[in-house]
Amino acid sequence: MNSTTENQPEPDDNQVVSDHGKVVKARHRFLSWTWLFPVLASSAALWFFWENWKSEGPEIEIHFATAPGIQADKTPIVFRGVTAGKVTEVTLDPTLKDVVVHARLKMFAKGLALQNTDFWIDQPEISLKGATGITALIQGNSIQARVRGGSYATHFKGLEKPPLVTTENPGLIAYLKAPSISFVDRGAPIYFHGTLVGMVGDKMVDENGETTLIVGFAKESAQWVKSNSRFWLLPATSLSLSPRGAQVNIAGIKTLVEGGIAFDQFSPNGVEATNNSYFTLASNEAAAKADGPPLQLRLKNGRGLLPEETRLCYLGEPIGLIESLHLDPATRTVEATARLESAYANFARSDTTFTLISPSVTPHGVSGLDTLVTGSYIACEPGTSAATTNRFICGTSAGDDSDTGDGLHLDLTAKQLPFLSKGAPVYYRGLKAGKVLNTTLNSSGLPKMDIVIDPAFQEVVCANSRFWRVPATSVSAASGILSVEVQGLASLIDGGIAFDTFGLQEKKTPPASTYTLFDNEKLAGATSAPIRLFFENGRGLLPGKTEIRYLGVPVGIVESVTPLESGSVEAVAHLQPGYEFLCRSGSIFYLAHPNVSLNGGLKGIETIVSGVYIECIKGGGAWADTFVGRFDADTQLLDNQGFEIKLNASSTAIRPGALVMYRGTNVGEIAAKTLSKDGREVVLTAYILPEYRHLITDKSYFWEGNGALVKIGFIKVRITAPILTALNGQVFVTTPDPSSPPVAARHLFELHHEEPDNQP
Amino acid sequence: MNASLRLELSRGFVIAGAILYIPANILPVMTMTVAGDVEHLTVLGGVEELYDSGLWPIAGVVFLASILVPFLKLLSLAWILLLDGSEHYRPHRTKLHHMLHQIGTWSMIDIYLLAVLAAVGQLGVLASVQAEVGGFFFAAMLLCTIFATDLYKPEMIWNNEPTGPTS
Repeated sequence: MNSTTENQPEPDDNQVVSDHGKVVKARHRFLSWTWLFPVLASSAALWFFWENWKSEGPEIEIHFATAPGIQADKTPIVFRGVTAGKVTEVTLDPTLKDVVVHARLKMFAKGLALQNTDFWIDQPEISLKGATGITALIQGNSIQARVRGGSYATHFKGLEKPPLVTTENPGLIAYLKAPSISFVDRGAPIYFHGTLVGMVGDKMVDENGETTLIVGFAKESAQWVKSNSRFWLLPATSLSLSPRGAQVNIAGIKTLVEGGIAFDQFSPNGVEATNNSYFTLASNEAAAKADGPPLQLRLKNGRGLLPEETRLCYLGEPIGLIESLHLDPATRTVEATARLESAYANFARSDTTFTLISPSVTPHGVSGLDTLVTGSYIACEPGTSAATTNRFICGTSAGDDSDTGDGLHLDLTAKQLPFLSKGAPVYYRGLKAGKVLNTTLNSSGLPKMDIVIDPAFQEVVCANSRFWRVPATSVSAASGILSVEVQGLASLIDGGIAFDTFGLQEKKTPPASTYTLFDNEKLAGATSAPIRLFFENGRGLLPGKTEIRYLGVPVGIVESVTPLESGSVEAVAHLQPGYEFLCRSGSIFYLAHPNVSLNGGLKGIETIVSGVYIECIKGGGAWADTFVGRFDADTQLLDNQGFEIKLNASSTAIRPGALVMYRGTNVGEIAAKTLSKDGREVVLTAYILPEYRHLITDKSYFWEGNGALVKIGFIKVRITAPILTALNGQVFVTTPDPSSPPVAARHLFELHHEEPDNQP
Repeated sequence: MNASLRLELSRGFVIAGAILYIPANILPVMTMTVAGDVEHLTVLGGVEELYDSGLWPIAGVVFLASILVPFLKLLSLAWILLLDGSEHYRPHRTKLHHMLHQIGTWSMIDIYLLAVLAAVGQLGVLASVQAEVGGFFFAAMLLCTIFATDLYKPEMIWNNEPTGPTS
């Protein structure tokens, strides 16, 4: 308003003086209107700034080693999810060692400025387990706070990593120690009875070089951690083999990749653990369970023992674990430190026996067999003595074989004994009747096997009992089926011996008599006197394998095959009891080979899988034991004694088994193919079925129908296909005048290559 | 409403506008959250942001419209009101007053823009725009200049006597 006064002309001064009342009025109005809005505006602004200022708390300074993503004016300080302040400035300290973050707290968060408050930078972390700090991912990093009391302070040292328990109510902190902890790391879950109750906070190596885990438990779960709690590692994913089969164990989806820790208490009387207690971390649950006092077991051989793996069992139930193994060079023994579960700690009596049950060489009954999959274990038989001790001598399971001496002792001999270990079972019709004691050489230098038959089976051992070897596993091919035979689990490992009596039982066996051990049941069962068969060729004959069949049923077996100087092969065979009637002079023995022909179908196809066998056709003559074996005789022809003719040709691809066709009808078969005596021609022996005998006259024309004839217009092309010749081929016959007199047996015909020109 | 009251109210609005000009410029007018990145923008900060992102013509326009023009408006109004009753620069003052009146039509465009941004820019977590208290001060400041311009009639410039206190 100075300007107004200035602008007033000088003479007006008097007027102003004279007009006194107006001045007062003007002053009044001047105050009332001009300043109304400025006062409103400034009070609004002032009020706002005052409000702002009022909500500002103390300024604090936090030192961090690194401060990724922290920005001045942006990064909030978050306490329990609420923005409690804001970073105002980010600087480095003069030594460049720290980042100094200045932040202004809100007034309501003034209480954060206390000495023990922890500040840390929350940043997103994406690991195999999943992503944490998702909010940080979206909203940017923040500084998180946790209050833990103390006096007022404005300078803080920020935490390197987020603390385990982010609220100020930390529950329970404990330390787990183990010589090495492989996979569990920060953030791994801790389970109690399968429920997540805590988390691994940090992993470090203490001053003794032991790995230590710092673990935290939520406050409501802390009560479950007792002074006697035992902790063990849950492997990420474990595959365990047990008698129940293979099992894949996954403790939880979180532990799937990085494992976890579980705990429980196995003994009563635990009190709640105090903060910062130390616990031992066992490598597995069994090791955690075995928390009794240590026992020293002395073993001659530690084979199969694994520290923290091998169990101590009582009545088949695990009651403890081998903790560690030491070699004692002085006494040449292995000293195992074992712990029993505390519930069984009273087993440590002076007369308690420990026996190592191992699966390896002694299939001693079925008891040791489970160790095949579970590994060796130590059987514990608690004593009754009042005295307690913690030092024991541990025996081995092989040792208890020596005492089983009662029963019937027998010797078995063979040219070559199978490898059978001590304790291998002896079966009688599928029942375990005894076992092998040992194998030695007898006085005549033959291997001898001592076996003992249990008293209960003594009665069934007869003078004519036969013993044979039970193979570990046998695959036998009958016609059309393959059968796999396994004689008991124990024999699966290395076989056994079986015996039975074939034919009439001859009672009264002299004890300790000597028996022959046969290679298999068939050999043992064929008890007849030997018969001798002579073959031109021993192809396919296997001693101990090749069967003799009568009407397709196995009735005997070839025992030995010996080539003779005279150029034949002698096969010695035995028949089973009751089939001696086959040993007659008219009997025919012939080798059955697999035989495939185009028209004749498949013959002896079962021999493809079972090998050749000797088929027998009963004769009607006197008793005999020497026969001449044949090859490939057709049973039908042999039975009917068909009409035999001979065909000769300079050469032919026709083979035995080829059919003789008359106008497309099968009238006979080629039985044999030989060379003529001078070796210049091939002679085929054909059998013509008796009912067609009249068709063969001396006018008959034979030609070989080997291959296919293809006519293309005027050209005839004969295709001699190797595939067809591989089959036996065919012989065609035609007789222009069937009324002419039939020929005599063994008439010799010419076998032509071409069919006749004037074929009717 | 007589001339003297108009002058007084007009002067009051100019002073109030000058006072409001300070918080309007130092307080953020809006908060922009883009992909979790929270940005409190003052008017000047917005200009800076635009300039930094290479949109300097727009930055210039916003600077002119939102900072320079209100400032010059307040300054020129103060000059006009100070010279009330004086015979100096009467044609200039009239012309200037006319101009101020014309500009006054467009002066709320910033607030309008802010309102549109705050209404449209709501993309949830991805991006959001929120009007802040600075905007209210800014709007109040602009209102003050409009009222001041409107209350002081151009014919009052030509009054020979200063618009003194009247009964």
